[in-house]
Amino acid sequence: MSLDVIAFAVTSAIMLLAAIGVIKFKEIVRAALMLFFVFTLVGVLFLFMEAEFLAIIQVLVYAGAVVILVLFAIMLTRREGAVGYLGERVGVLKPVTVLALISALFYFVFRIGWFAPKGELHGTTKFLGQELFTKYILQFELLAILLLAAMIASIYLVRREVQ
Amino acid sequence: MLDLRPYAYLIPLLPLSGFLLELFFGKYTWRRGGIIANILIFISMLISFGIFYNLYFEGLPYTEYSWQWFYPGIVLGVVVDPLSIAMCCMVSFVSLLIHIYALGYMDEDPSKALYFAETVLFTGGMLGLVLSNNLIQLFIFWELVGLCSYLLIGFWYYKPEAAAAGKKAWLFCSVGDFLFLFGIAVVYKYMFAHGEPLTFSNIFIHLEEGVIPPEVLTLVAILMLAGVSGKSSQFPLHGWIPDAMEGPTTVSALIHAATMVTAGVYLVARTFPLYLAAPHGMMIVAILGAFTALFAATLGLVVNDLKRILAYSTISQLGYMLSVLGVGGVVGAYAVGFSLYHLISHAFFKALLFLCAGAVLHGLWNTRCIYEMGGLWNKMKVTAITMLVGSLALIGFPLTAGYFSKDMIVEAAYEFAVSGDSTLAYLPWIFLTIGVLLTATYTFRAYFTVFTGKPKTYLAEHAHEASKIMTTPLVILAACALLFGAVQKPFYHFVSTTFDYLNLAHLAEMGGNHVAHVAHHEHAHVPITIKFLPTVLSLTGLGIAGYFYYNHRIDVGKYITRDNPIYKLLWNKYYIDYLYKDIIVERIVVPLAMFVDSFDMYGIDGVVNGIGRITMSIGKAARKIQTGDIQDYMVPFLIGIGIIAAIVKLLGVS
Amino acid sequence: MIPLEYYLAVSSLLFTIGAYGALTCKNGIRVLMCLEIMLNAANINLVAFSRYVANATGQVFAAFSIAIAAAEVAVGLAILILIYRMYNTVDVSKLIEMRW
Repeated sequence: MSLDVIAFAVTSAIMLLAAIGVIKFKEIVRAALMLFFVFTLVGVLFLFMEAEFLAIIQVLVYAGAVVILVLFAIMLTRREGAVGYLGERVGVLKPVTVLALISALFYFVFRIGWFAPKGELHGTTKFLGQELFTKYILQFELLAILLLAAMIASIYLVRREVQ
Repeated sequence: MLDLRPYAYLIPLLPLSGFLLELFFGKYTWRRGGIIANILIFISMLISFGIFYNLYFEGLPYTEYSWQWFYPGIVLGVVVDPLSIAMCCMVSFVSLLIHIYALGYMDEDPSKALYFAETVLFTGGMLGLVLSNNLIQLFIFWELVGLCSYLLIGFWYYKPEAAAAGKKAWLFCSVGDFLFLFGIAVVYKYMFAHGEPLTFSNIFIHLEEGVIPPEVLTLVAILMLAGVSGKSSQFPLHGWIPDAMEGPTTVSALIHAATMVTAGVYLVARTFPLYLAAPHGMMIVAILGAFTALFAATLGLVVNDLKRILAYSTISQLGYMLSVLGVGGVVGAYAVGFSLYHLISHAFFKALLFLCAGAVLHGLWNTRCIYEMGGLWNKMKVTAITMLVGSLALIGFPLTAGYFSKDMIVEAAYEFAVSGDSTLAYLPWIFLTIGVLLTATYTFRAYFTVFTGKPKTYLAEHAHEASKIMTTPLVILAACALLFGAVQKPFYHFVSTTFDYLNLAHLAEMGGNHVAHVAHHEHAHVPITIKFLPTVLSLTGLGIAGYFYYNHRIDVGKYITRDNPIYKLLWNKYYIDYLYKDIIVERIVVPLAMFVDSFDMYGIDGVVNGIGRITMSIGKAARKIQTGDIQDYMVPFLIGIGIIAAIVKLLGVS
Repeated sequence: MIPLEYYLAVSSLLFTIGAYGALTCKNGIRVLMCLEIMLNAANINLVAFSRYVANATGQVFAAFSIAIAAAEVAVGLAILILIYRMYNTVDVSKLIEMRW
């Protein structure tokens, strides 16, 4: 058990607990907080995987922007006595499906022989930049347009009519 | 003279087209309809007589023309031979006269164009029937004339009796037609490997080879006789004609005197070789015809409706025509000649009688009971005289056409009787002879009651003669009834050559008939007393009728009351109608129909509706899946992902 | 080096938790949050494979995924707010107009 595995295990455990927390907390702001933890810990996991640039992006975008968005939405849709979890009314089909899903996924993960790492990654930031602006330039530009469209859409959707 | 034989198909086609023309445009023509019909029938008549001239005076050969139809071996065809052409001439001529008469008779009727459309359709159908050269086409026209009969009997459909009578006619005919069709099917079954299966000439040629076994021939003969009974109203399917008198009198004249009812006789005449070759076939026909002749004559004695008397007389005379075809076993091909001769002369005088009756009814505002008439001799001279001529012809008074035809029949029946080998063979002759007496009696009972004596009612006192357009056909028909006798011998010679192309002697032997002289009949050896017996009997009958009814001398009602058992039997028509309606229909057919109907309603509809209901209930249950809750929809979503992954794994897609 | 299976296992678990939450939670915002969790799990997967094949394409994909997810969250929350204005609730079990 080398150190990095232990560190990895701890990080993952906390992340998973936080994810469970998103579901379980009755108070939705706490759930949002848990979400924040999940995002941040996913970023840490990226660091484990030697993807520094992505880790930064993750924290910036997700933990930084998405969580804020969620909090704003919570603020604008507040009601008294809003409950989070379905409780006993879940039924039998949903847990069973989820169990089946996890079993299948674990089957794929553990029974299939994966491979040893192939080699060292180059410095990712530079490499990412190169790929993004040469090979994937079209997708990059399309993404920009998509973001613009999303921005306009959300602004338009939620504006109140001016009297 | 131009060879008209290839144009024979125009003879039925013109009146048939007249149907559509009258139907759609008749009401715009002169006096609201009828002119087109008359013109087309006149042209048909000209063509018929033209072809007759071709065949008889120019001696052009007999022929037939056929065109392939919907199935190999089934043809549409016209046969041009003496039998068909004689019928064509008669049908078109008499039909034309009746149509002219109807121009006057139906003048005030609001549906005049429709009437003429139906009668011209009927004429076209009849002409098509006699010109058909194969069984299936004949059957089609057979049904067509049956349909027109139904339409025309129930012409005044708002009268419930008329509608019921039309229905009755159709039902009786249908029973016969069904069996007839069955007979055609049997013929087809045996013949379909031998050329055109249903064409007459082909069937007859193969008869000699024994393609159809003898028992089957008898079966076919009986089945076709069923059709004949329906159409020509022989026993037991005779019941529709008396009721059919509910239709206009011109309809009765056209359909039930001259043309449609003779279709049955024509069929037997046309298939004469088949009846010759069928064992016992001739005997059955002879006895059936003779029995019906007697049977109907007895019923004619008690009926009080003028048209009904004539109706029973029609049935009776048809029996004569049929039985002479049956006794033709002894006279060979001449039987066809005898029968057809009587058929044509009967057409003349029966149509004449019906038209006269129509004139009487017209003048008396549709009174039909003879006891409400009387003394019309002074009021309607022309009608009275022509009706007298017709009646005399009907009873076979010497020198009228009826005399020549009817006597010949009775003589032939006598020959049959003496040459037959069983006592059964005497029956036709006995029946026919008694029938002569009765015919004379009831005919003149009617005549004297209507035309002599004092008028019984107000209407009878103020009767008037019919218009020129109605009396002219009467005079023409009377002349024919008188003069047709002159052409007796040539007619026989002419018609009997129809079947020259077959070996009738051989066929007759196949059927077990003794044939004295097959092709050319010389007057056989009939004792003088027998020869004159019919004449004596008819004059006796006339005398009896005159004794009782001339000037209404004796009130027969005093001697024969309503309770007299014989009277009751005859009045109820031997309870046959009762048998059919109350017993067969009520007790057997109706429950059967109800059972079938309920099977259809609950069984078949149940299955069909049940399938619909099952589908609907499945739908009702299945739609509960759509809860509207999106989280419920995600479950199948995830399951689907799993399945796709499994498939990808299984297929080993890299 | 941490074996690949560990990363995959973690990402599977995270995905499953997210799925359960998306299936189960009543509050619409919570459902969206769980959706994000699922997206993140997928991203972990992508990057893990990218590391082990020594190909940075996976990271590029993940970067795009992050950006698009952000846009999607924005629009999704906007719609949720609209729903709140109309129905005065964000309880997804109440939004069942498309029922049988």
